[in-house]
Amino acid sequence: MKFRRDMNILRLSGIAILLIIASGIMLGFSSDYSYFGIGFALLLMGIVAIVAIVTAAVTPEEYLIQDERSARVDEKAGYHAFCSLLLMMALLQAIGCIWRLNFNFKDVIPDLFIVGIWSWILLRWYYNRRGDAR
Amino acid sequence: MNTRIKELRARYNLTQEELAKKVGVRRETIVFLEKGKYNPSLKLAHDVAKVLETTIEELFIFDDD
Repeated sequence: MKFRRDMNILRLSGIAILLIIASGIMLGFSSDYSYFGIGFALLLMGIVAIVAIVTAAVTPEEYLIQDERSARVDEKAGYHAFCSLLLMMALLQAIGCIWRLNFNFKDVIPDLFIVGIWSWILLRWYYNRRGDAR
Repeated sequence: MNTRIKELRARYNLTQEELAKKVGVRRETIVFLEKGKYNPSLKLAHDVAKVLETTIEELFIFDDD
């Protein structure tokens, strides 16, 4: 497995390490509860960044090229994920109206967000596999 | 849509990866192009034709129906 060490990887690694050091300072030297929350969030961001950087560094460069096909797949998946999100919202609204559920959209925003993200990921995988011959 | 990419690629002794590198796309894109599962833009069709020293008309064969 080849680990790429180009400028982008090194720069992002530096940022991730800085995030982890900042979180260590916040978690170690502060007794304030709000700083603890921020420190934990920074630590989480640092860990996610490290995982993403390592994944990108071991992936061959030719797989990361953004060519016209991958851009088209991303756009198409994004558009259809957005449509599925709108459909979900319309369905929830309709269900709320029919059964008089006294529905509050604020409560389902995280669920809708998850539906949107997963729709995009799955559609991207599907369109990437299927090709586009139409 | 049918293509002659595979045939011409073999003539120039190029692998899919080498052709992808020359054209500046992912290898997957060349795979889909060869299978006729992807409609390229005019620019990509031109770039592939240029690398394989042919014309777009000779490279891509469209069925009328």
